[in-house]
Amino acid sequence: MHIIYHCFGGSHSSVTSACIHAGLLKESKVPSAQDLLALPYYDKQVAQDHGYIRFIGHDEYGNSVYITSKHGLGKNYEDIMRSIASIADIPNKDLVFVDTMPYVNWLMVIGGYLSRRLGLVRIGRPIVILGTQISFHKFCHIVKIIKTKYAKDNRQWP
Amino acid sequence: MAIIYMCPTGTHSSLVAANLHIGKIDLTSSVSDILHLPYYGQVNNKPGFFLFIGKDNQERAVYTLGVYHEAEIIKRSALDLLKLFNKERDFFFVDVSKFMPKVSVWCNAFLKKEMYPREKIAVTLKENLKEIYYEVKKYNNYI
Repeated sequence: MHIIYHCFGGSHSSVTSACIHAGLLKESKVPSAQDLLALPYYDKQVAQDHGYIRFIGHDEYGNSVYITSKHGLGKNYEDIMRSIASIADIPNKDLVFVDTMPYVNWLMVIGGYLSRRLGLVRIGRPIVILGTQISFHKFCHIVKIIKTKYAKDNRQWP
Repeated sequence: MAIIYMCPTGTHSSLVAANLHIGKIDLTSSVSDILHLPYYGQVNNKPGFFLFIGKDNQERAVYTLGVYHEAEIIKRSALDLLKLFNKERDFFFVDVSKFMPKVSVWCNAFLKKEMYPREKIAVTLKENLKEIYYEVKKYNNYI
């Protein structure tokens, strides 16, 4: 099963959620700034990278976890990708799309805009890290829901 | 094999391009021919709406897809999605949204219904028919 986390720019909320899912971040404590900056693609993607589906890792049930960005498409992104999947004869149950935008707070929006769009990394990065730390438990929550709802279906019993 | 034409609604410039591809209309078609194409101008404000238009002379399926104004993002994303299943070589994504009048896209997006007259869009598409033809000709030499 392919689990794809998507958000506006694909560099903060989706990366954090996907890394929690893939086991690169521990859910037990709020990560420090160094922990967050060590994640793959965290606060790194620019406009030319948008749209590509990036691999993050495997979870404990053998599913692959990916991130991507979708700009202003919102909920329609999932509809469009499922249309393409149906044209290509890809079964719908192999794909899970997770929108992480509802869990993004305004600190992440402002910090992400300053750091990624305007290029003011020195000002924007501390703001977006603070926002991620505030919203961290919400990302843990959505990952928990996805794991219990979809990811466990792939579990292979001994 | 499939060729997917993308435009903001999936029922305007992509429909004209797909019909050019399968040979239903050609360079000499008039505005009324465009207006009388099946499904023309059925704006439903639902990106992700796709239509099967027909098969071309090389037995390839031709589709249209509505993608709002993010065709470039969807093209990259879709090719990466198909790569996960080793199918990326069988699909071509063609962006024809630049041949639509820009104002119509914004009108339909904000006002949530077909405010911009469909006849005006057809006139613009007729003016751009030659450019659409050259775009389509890259993918089908036999039209």
